[in-house]
Amino acid sequence: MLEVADLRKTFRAHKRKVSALDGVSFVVKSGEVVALLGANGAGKTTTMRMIAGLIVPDSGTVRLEGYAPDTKGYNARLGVLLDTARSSSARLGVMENLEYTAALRGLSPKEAKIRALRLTDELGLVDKRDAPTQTLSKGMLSKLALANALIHQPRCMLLDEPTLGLDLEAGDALEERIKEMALSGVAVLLTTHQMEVADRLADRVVILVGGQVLLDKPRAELISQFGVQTYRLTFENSLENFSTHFPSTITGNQMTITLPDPHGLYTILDALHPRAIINIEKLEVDLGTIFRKAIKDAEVKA
Amino acid sequence: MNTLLLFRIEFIRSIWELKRNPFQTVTGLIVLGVIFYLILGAGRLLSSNAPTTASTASLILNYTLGMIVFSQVSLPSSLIRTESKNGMLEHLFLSGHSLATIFTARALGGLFLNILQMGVLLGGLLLLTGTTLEWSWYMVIPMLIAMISALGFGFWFGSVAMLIKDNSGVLVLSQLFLFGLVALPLIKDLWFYLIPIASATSLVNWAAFGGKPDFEYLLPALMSALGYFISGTFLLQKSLQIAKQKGILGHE
Repeated sequence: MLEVADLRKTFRAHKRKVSALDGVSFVVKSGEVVALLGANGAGKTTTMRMIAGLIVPDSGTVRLEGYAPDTKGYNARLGVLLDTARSSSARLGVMENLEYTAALRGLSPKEAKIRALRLTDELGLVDKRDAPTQTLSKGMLSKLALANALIHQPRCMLLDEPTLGLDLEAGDALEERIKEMALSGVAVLLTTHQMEVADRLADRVVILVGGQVLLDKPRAELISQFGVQTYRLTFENSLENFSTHFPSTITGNQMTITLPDPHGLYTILDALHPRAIINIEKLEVDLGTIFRKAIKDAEVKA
Repeated sequence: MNTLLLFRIEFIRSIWELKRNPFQTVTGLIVLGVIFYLILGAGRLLSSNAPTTASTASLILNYTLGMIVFSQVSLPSSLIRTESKNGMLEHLFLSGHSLATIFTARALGGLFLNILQMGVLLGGLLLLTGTTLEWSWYMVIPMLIAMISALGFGFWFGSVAMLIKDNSGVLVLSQLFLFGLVALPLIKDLWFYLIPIASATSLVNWAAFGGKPDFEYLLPALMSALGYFISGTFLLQKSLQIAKQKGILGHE
C-alpha cells in the first residue's frame, strides 16, 4: 500500500514563491488502480516525482508498505515509468537494456536473464530481443520502458501518462498489462489527460486542483454521487428549428440533455409535450464529464 | 554484493556498447589521430627549433594522457546528461547505489576499453611519427593515481551538471585546461599537490623518461587524488540534495 500524507511543496520561480502542492494526501491500496487527474500545473507530475523520491517535499510523508523514500525497502518495491518514449539506453539492445536495469536493481545475472526473457515474451518483444533500441517504434519503446520498470517485480507502479503518443493497438496492450498488474496485487498510480483511459482503468479517482486534492473517491461512487444524469431522447419526428430553454444538444430527431438530478427529467418532458417521444435512454456518464464539472464547480466556489 | 554486480554489469555494458557501435570507436581514434597531427603541425609552425624525437614522444604521451584524463573528468557530467535524455536517470537513482558508486563503476567498467583505445592511439602515433617511448612499470601507480584524481575532479563537474544539465561548453573549455595540467613538469612544492591531476601525470611523465618516482612523491600525489575524490563525492551528494529540493532531478 502506498500512503501519501499532507505533501507540501513550494518552488521559487522568478523570485516568487509558487505553491506546487498544498497538503496532498491519498492512499493506493494493493491491487488498486488510482488515476491522479488534474489540469496542467495542478501538481500531478510533482506528486509523482515526489513519490519516486526525485523531489523532496517541504513537509509531508510518503510510505510504501511502511518504507520511506530513499531506503532499500522502498526502492525495491517501487517501479517507475515517468516517460514511455524514453526510458532505456539508446546505445544498447532490448535484452541488454533489461539485463542492465536488472543488475542495477541487484538481481543476479541468471535471474536477470530469466526475467528479461519472460518480460520480452509477455510484452511481445520476442522478435526484438536483439534489436538496437534506436530502431524500435514508439509502441515497442513503451513496452521496453514498461519492462524496464517491471524487471524487479515492484509492489507499486507509478505511471505518468502511460499511453501518451501510442497508437490504438499499443495503447490497448499497455492498458491490458496495467489491469493484469493490478490483478496480481500491484498498487498502480497513474496520471493521464486521456479521460477514457482513466475511465477504463481506474478503481479510484483523485482530482488535483491548484496543488490540492479536490476529490478522492472510488470511480463508481464518484459517478453516482456526482449526480450528473445524461439522457438521450428520440422523437418521432425531426427536431429541426426546435429551440429549448434548457441546455441540450440536438441531432436529427435526437436530443441529449444533462441534468443535475433525475427529477428534472419530468419538467423537461412537460416542456416537450406534445411532441411524441419514442425512446428515452440513460447514458453512462464518463469521467471526462465529471472531471469538467468538478473543475467548473471548484472555480465557481473559488 | 550489489556493488560487485554493478561493477560487473558496467564492464559488460562497455563491451556491449563497443560491439554495437564499433565504427564510432574507430572513427573516434581516427579523429584523435588527425587532431594530434594538427597540434604537431601547429607546433612546428610556431616553433623556430626543429622538433626532437624526445619532444614528439613527450607530446604523444601527454596527448594520450590528456585524452584518458579528459574521458574520466567528463564521464560523470556526460553520464548525467545522456541518462537524463534517455530517461534512465530515475532508474539509476532508484537503484539504491550512491551516484559516486555508479560513476566509479561506469568509469572502471569502461577503463579497460579506454586504455585499450588509448593504447592503440599511442602505439599508432609512435609508429607514424617514428618515435619511441620507454615502457616503465613505474608509470602504472601514478597513472592509477591520475585516474582517481581525474574521476574526483569529474565529480566536481558532475555536481554542476546535476544543477545545470547542459554544461558541455564548460567541459570543452576545461579540455584545454586539462591538457595544460597533464603537461606540467613535477614541481617539488606543496602547492603543486593542490592542483588536480597534475602531480600524478607529472610522475607518469617522469617515469616515462627514465625517472623512478618513489614514495616521497607518490604519497602526496595519492593524498591529493583522494582529496579530490572525497571532496567530489561530497559535492555530488550536496548537489543531488539541492536538485531534489529544486525539483530538477531527471529533467533535461
